[in-house]
Amino acid sequence: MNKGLLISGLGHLGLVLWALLGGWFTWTSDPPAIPVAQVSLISTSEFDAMMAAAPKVDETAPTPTPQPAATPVVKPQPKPATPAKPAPTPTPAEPLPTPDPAPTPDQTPPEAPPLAPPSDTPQHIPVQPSDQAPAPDTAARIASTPVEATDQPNIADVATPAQSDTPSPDSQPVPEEPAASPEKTVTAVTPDAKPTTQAAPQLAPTSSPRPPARPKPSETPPEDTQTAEATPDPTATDTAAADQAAIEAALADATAPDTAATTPEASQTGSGGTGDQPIGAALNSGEIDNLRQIIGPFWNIGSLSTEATRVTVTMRVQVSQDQKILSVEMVEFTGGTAEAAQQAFEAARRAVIRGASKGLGLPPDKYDTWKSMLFTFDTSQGRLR
Amino acid sequence: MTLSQSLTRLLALGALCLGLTAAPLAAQTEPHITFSDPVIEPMPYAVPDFVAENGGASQAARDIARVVADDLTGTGLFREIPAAAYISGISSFDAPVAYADWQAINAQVLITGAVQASGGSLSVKFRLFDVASGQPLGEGLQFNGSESGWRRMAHKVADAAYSRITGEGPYFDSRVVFVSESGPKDARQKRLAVMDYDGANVQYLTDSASIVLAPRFSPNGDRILFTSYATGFPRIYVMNTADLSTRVLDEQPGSMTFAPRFAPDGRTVVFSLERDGNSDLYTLDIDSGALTQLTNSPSIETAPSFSPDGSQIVFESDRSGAQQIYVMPASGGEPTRVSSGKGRYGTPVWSPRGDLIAFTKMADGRFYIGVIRSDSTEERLLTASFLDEGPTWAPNGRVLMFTRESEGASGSATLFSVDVSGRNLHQVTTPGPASDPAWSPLLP
Repeated sequence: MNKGLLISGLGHLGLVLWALLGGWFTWTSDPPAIPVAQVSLISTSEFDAMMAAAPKVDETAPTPTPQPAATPVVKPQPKPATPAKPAPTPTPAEPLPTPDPAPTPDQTPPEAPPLAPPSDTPQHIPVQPSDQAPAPDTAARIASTPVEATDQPNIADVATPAQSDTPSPDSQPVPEEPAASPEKTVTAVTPDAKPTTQAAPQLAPTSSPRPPARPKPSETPPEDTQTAEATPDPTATDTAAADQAAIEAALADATAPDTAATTPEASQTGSGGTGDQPIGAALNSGEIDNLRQIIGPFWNIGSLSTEATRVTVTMRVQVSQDQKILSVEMVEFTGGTAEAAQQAFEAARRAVIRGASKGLGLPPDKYDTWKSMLFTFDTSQGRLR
Repeated sequence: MTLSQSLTRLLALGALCLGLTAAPLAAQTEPHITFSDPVIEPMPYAVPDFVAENGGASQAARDIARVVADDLTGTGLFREIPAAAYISGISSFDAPVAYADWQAINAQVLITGAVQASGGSLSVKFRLFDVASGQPLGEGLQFNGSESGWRRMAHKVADAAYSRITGEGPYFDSRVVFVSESGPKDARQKRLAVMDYDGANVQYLTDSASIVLAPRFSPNGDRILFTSYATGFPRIYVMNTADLSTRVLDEQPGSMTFAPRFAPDGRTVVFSLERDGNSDLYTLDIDSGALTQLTNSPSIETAPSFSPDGSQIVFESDRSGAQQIYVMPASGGEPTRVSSGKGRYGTPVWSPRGDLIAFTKMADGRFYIGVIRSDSTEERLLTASFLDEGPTWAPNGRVLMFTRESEGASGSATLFSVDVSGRNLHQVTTPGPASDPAWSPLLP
């Protein structure tokens, strides 16, 4: 009881003391003076009189444009055949604003239009009018350092001669002759090698690496299967029997290669050829480069006619398992006549045969891949003119 | 459609897709390798001495083989393997070829032949083999002729081998007419001479009594046009090569005629005619004598040359202020400028193939032989020296021959040839100084 009375008395005493002495503890400096603006007051009648006296403003009129003298306009070059010139330097007669590093507010006119960026700021070259010839080498930026303005348009005084001292073939490319259908040219080379069936067990593994298997499709039938049945096509209904026959035929076709591949004849081709064998792995870049190193040095076009050196020949090369050339067949050519293509083919064929005389350096385990290859001999790098 | 039918149909479609994609997948696995860095070097070949099939043919058998080898090696496209490197020889024309022996010495082509002589005539036969593939390269050929014509038969053999291997037209069996020179530079004596393309069998056609210039063969080689100062003024003459009879081609009093050249038909001649100080181009119908003026310009037009089809004429003119090459229709008309580079261009000659125009270029105190396409593209300079001029085309359009004159008071003119690729520049052997060559067509 006494304790509660004591607390209450102390609380009241504190409250009385705060009321008497609180200003000392919470004293701060004087608040800043409130700025007072002197405002002229007018009456409503005076305001209406002023509005009536003011000129009418056309709201459809365009917004006044900034004064040209205050806007650094990049003049379009009539024909910027060379990289675009920098913006003209402001002259006293045409006081374009000189960009100041830190313009003070006092120097800025109260109603000045927005300043254009300084000259070292990227600016787009104005789009050329459509009646001006486009220049391929138009600069994308204006130079940071202004140069003296010139009134001379960017047009060469003398027309560019139509022909140069050393005309570039690229400027006027010679139209390439259309590809002609090649003559059937097959060179069968008698192989010195023994039958591949004898060499196979020693030279090649019985299988080649399998490519990554495809992910198994979901065994759940697709839901939209029922949708197709829900909206049947009338024509499909009419031709259901024909569809079934076509499906059966397709099934037969799809399974036919397996049947053929499992014939004894196919199974004699070493590790590959059987239907249940995977397709051989592709040659890697090192193996292809090695093949180029073996055959390339023998590809000599120094004795070809000028026309034959313009022919690009593609040939199919059949190779035995012991890497002997079985046949070389031209499959297509471009860039010349059939006679010239024949000459080019002969030179390429010699290169293949001579290069293969000591082996082609191909990986035996990829025989399925390289037993038939396409070689293209492109003479564009070393052709005679 | 029941559920089982739907499943069957779905499986069938899947199999169909598998079947359709199987073939392309298999084709994609066939490696496709591109070779794009060919070697350009002479092809090694072997040509053993031909087999003498009787006692009188021994010398001819050796000589013919040497000429064949010289022809092929002289093109710069072939390199002969010396006989010392041979592992096996050719003892009989019909004996099987030991390909392995020729492959071992890196021969890519083998030429075998046999010669038979009887009663002043020769019979030459040859075969060509592709050593790399171990099989003949075409069928064998046989040529018959007189013993004195053994060089021509050798050229024929070389031509056949050259054409089969390279695909180019032949040109070894051809002749060259030129101006044979003698005496000091300030008092040169000049006369016409003709020789085999390789400088052999030189024969003189005129004496040195008057200066002769610019001989040109007719399209079939039976006549030669040339310019002579026999009257004190340049005038065009035509010579019959069979009997060397000569006559003045034109009768234009008060004028000078020069720079003649036959049209492809052999009946028309185009040349320059100078009258009253102005030179223009004219054509003359040899049979009727009809003269047609092609140009009418105060500038100098000269050195005309027909295109192979006879439809156009290329010539040089200084109408632009400096000598340049122009092309115009064969009947005259507005010319089109072909050359445009720095310097002066002259003596244009259209290639027998029709694709290129050879010319002489003068720039920076040097002379060049070059070629350019008739559409003004792909100008290429093949030679350069103190003085190269007057190119002429081989019948196959692959080789050019021209005059090269050395510098100085003791300098003299010689004949050079160069492949159209700019390779294989070499001097043509002549008995003495020679200039102004003109290649004949291929001999029949």
